Amino acid sequence: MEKDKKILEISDLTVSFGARRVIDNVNFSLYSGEVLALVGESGSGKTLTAFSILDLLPRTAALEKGKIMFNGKNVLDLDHEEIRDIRGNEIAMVFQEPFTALNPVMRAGDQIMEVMSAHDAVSRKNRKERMKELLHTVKLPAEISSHYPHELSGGMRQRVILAMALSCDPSVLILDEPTTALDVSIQKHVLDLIKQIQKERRLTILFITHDFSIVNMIADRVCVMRNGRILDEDGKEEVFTNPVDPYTRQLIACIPRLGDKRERLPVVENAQDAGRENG
Amino acid sequence: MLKMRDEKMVEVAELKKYFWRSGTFFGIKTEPVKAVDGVSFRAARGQTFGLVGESGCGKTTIAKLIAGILRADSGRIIVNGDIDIVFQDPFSSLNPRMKVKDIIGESLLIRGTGGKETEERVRETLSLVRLGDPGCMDKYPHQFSGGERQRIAIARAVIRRPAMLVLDEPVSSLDVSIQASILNLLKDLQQELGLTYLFISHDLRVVEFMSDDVGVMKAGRIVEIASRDEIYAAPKAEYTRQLLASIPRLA
Repeated sequence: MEKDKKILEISDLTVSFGARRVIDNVNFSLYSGEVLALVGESGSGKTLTAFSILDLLPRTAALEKGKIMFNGKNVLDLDHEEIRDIRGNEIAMVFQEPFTALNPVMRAGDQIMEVMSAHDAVSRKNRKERMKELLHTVKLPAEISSHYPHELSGGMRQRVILAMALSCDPSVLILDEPTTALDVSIQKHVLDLIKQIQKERRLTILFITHDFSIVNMIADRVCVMRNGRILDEDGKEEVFTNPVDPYTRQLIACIPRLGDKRERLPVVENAQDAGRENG
Repeated sequence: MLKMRDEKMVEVAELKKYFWRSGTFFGIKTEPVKAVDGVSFRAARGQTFGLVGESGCGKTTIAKLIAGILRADSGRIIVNGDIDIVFQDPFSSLNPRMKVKDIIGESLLIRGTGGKETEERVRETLSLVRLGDPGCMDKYPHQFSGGERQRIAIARAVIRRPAMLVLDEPVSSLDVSIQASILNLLKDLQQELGLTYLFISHDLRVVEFMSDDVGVMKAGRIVEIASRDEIYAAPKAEYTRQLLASIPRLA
């Protein structure tokens, strides 16, 4: 049906820090209702690509060229007011760390309602009702609303953040390593939940990760990024069975599998290992 | 090989560690958190015992008890040799204001080894963890990537040639591409130095790759303990089956 409709189109996006190109002629599109995984190592430029979409690039970054078309407009041409209308309302983002993304001295329910008031998305008297609905959507009990973040587990916090991201009913969700900090069993619950919400609300998702085993659980299509470039772009099955770039094959092979009888793991050549100062 | 298996490196029996919440409720002591509640296992010399479980199950408390960072309430830990430890987070476990050579050599200097000899041993140990570039010595932790920092933490742990290493989630904060090279390095070091490992992780795939025997922990207790092949081919505990089912699969 509308699956083939391009909802977001990035073309020739190029961003530099000084002399260093961190995003280098990136082209890809998000189609309505799909989950596109943007896969790459730390430092590959995947988070910066997401930041470009929402005008969240650090001041030191220089946008050299490119277009990001959303709803017929180039978001790179929009002023602050216009981009704020898109951010949260139409495209929402969930950041990597569930520990720093929440305000530690504010109750969970208030944080969800704060997003609605900041975006003027829901009338004041309906906010509480809407907040409870959202908690229900992310499968948290209503009592959670009066809890502070430190009283919640990592998985619960990530659900609260998801509820915040959904509060203005966006059509596109950008999720940046949303389960990387979680235990495997919690990770599965959160991924299943994301998948379910995506189906119910016909959300379009850009899912950023370094881990191909997560790609397999969540994605319809895959873009593989390295050194600021897209090396591979294809359907999930194709990328797993017949990747175009040898790097993609290495990224898949380096993950231990259950029942793995390999004595050593194949290593990614010149692995980027940029380090994660904050993680 | 068989002979090695027989030789015990560490034996833990009926280990208990409770944490009491601070304060009391009208003078009545509140219920403690039973972080480790009667845990027993043993690891043979040169082998890897894998301890797997989710956050809060008590696995890090066991790491700290065995490394001597915490004292047990009761139970026994019998160890035949020195033990050192590698922590999860290579960003907070290295002092940002110390040079790499001082971080790695500190434990030798404290014990009275001379400066010249220490520097020589640091150089040796750095090449052991495949950080051969001599320029490394005078750099600070922030000048290294996550994988390199974990190599530095491993170098610090092996410089005194302990018989055993406690590895507490050593690859959990790394990208999968970096994780593979650190796991391979740990396997190499085990061969080269005859190390015994207590390998702690929440990721069953990584534990399977590394371990000879595996204990599955939940809420302070070991719910299942067996050889790696038994745990993965024929898990007995319902909890082990649940954990296995939650692993993301490739294709």
